[in-house]
Amino acid sequence: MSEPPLLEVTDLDVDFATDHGWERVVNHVSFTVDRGETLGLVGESGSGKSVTCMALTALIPMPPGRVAGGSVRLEGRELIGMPAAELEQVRGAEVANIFQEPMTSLNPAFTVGEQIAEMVRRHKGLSRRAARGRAVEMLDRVGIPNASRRAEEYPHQFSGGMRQRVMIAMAVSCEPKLLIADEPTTALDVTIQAQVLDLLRDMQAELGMSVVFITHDLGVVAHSCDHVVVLYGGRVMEEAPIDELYFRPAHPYTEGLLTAMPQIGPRAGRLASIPGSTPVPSSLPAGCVFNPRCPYVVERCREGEIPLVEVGPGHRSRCVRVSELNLVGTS
Amino acid sequence: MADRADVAVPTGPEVWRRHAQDHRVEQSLDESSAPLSARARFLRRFLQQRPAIGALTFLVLIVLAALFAPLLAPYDPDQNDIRNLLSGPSGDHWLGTDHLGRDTLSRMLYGARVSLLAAVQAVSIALVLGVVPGLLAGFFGRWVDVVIMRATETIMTFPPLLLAIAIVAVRGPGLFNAMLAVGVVFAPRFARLVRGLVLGVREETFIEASRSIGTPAHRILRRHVLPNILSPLVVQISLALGFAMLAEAALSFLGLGVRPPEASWGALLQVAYNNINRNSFQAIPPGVAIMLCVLAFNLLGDGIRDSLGKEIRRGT
Amino acid sequence: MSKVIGRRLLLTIPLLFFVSLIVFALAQLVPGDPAVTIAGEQATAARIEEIREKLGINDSTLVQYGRLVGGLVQGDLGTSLYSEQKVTDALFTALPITLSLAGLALLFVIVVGIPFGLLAGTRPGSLLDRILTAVAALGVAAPGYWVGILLIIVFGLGLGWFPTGLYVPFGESPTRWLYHLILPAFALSLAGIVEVTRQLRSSMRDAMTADYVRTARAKGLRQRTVVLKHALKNAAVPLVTVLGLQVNVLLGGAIALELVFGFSGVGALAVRAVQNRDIPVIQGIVLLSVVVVSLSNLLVDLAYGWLNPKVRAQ
Repeated sequence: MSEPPLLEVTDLDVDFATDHGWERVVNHVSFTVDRGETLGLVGESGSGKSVTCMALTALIPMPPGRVAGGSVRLEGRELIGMPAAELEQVRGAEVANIFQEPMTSLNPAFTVGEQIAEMVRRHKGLSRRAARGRAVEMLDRVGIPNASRRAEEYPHQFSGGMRQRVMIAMAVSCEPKLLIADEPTTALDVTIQAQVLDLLRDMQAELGMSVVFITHDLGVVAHSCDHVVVLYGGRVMEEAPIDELYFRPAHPYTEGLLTAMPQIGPRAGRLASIPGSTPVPSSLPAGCVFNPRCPYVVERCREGEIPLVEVGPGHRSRCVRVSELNLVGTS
Repeated sequence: MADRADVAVPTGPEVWRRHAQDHRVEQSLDESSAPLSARARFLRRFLQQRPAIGALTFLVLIVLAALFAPLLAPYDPDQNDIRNLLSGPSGDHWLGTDHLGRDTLSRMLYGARVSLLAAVQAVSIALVLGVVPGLLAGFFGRWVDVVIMRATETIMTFPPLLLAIAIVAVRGPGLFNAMLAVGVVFAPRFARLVRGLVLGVREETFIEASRSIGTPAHRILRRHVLPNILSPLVVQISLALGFAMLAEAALSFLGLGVRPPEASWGALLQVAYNNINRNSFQAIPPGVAIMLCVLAFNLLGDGIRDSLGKEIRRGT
Repeated sequence: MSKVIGRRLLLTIPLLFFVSLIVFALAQLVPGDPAVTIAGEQATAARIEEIREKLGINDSTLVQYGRLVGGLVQGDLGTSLYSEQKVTDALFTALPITLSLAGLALLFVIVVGIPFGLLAGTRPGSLLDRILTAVAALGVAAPGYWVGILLIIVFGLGLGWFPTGLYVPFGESPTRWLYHLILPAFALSLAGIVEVTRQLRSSMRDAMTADYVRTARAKGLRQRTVVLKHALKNAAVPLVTVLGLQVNVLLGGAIALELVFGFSGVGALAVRAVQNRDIPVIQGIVLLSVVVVSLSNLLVDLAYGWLNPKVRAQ
């Protein structure tokens, strides 16, 4: 029982430098990821979900960014403040990333085989030849036909979906314990999206790794996650096991996201997106950061810091009206 | 308003739909304040560019010094003083004298006239020779474009200074010929810039629209195309003035530009170089003057470019 | 690879045609009666006739152009109007000097400009970056020959560390060749160093914020590998363009520097030819420069292909 969770993020604060000084982009975010679990990190663009995950292994550019506080523990080891050389050994080998844009995330000037092989050489100490072999093997495993020939090709010779497969092959090539997938399907066609999601799930099952899945699309979350953390304005708004979140949302923002989700069946109709836009860090409203866009807003919502309260087993919400609202989930 | 826990608050999709509608109405009522005019925006941005302001001030001072050289110069620039050959800086001669005992400060002030005028001359020639072909190439496209662009590429194949020298060789040494040569060398750069800008502007629908209602080409060029490419052109002109100044100095230094006794800064540098063993100091003032002027033109050009809106800047 | 070379050579044909026209036009554009203008008003009739003969302007324009092209094909550029020397001979005597000067300057541009650009580009806003930017602004505005004069004043006349002139052929003594070239080559390279630093700084800044660099960092690669392999190979594309243009700039800048340091290279030859209006020599120099520039363009194209696989595929 004493074994720590795979990843434990506590009160993480991330700032970015602007003309007006430091602005807090991620505010006291906490979550844990257990072994083999998939955590969904959900929010609109600008909610701080990508920055949170990039800050875990110090991938945000510093400067202008900085981690202002909090702790990130991977199997009990603190990653915040870890020396750069040590952190390089963690990146890719223990924590791997997949990014949203497969078009630009691969280096156009090197073959895809080389881009996988250099990573294997770095972390597994394989010879040039063996690493090349490993690269081909990985490409084959993610379902790229003619892998040994394709390994010699450059990213521009691959389609978007194929590039994302290459990214996945690369990310899992060193068998990481944790895979951070940042909107891995957003830039892809709908038909390809499902294939890539399936592939990710297969690789997860095969390698037994944990996944943090960043997305703005609750539909994708339903497909692949065990737990969900909903972020807004750099804060955790709600946190729940997947079924709880869908059937018993405890925050108006979550309800709004669920309503905005494309639905199939008798309830399908015109989408009601959440009006307004995500706040910029420099002008966050007082009280609940969501209050200007919330249909249930009352005076109490506009003052003070709203605490994150327990509303059920493993279910927390940052809403003062949570007990009086009877929010509607999906059925 | 009833706000108690036992009162059922309506929730769910219907709430969100109504909420969205209300929001749309709110937004349409909330008109944004009137935008500043393009010129005011430019001025405000430009005034924040400290290096560019400094450069502009410096250039204005230099132009004033050149204009009022007869009033400012302590001596006649061509007056010899045999007792004072190649003297260093002193109370009488702030920047010393040259090998004929002429006062360097006075010669520098008069030299500013020659150098500035020559630069303006060269850039004017380049504009005349470059802008028109560039407009034609961009506007008409097809074979006109191909021929004009090939020609500019050919001219740009030559090392600029060497081509200028070749033209001077043909036309004979002298300041005007030298500046003509510099103008010819720089013209393709204007042509290519203008062509690129015209292509960009042409894509925009309003010109297509003018065309389809049968406005004659020269009218479209003057009314729609020229105003849109003026700002990037100004940036390039500022940079070209710096280049022309350098080129004039080089040609005069080589003895292919201005003819004695008239002297530009480049010619002063040549005289100083010839006497470098006896008085090294004389090489400093003209070189510094050239460098600062060119620097100022470059900074000014950069400043103007950075003050233009992104939408216009694209052209450069 | 051979495809790139082939395409480039094919593109060179119209270029050569235009160039031959320009070179030909040089002789035609001499105002007045070229022979009289060139010989000067006081020249004897015999001298004028001699120049007329050498320029071949007794024939029709078409015949003259035909003769120029014919000569070019055979590598014959005619004879100087002022000495009996063949233009090709004069060029081949002067060329090694200019190539030594420009070549060493290019080397300086590369070995100094690239590290500076990398340092400034990977640490934007740092003190070093700001110093380099300020120095760069001055360096681009300072005429190379003036820098050469200043170097002569300080290191030649003042400190006596370096010779202030005289070219020593490489074959005679490589060390003295280098010793005599250092000052002029450095003066010549300054503008190029600045240009390369600026270009590399800005393209490295772009590359360092690119998604693929983030990927490289996420892969756990060493910072050195991320910068020197992933970012630099992409940032090098515009850099190669600038280096190609530098060949042009260096050849032009060499002219004045050869004069300052008393080297009898192509630049000095050109200046003398202009003063004498020695048109055949000018024509030869112009042609030679086009050949050198075309060769450097070819190298640039080959480098593009290596750096950017997309170009290679086309």
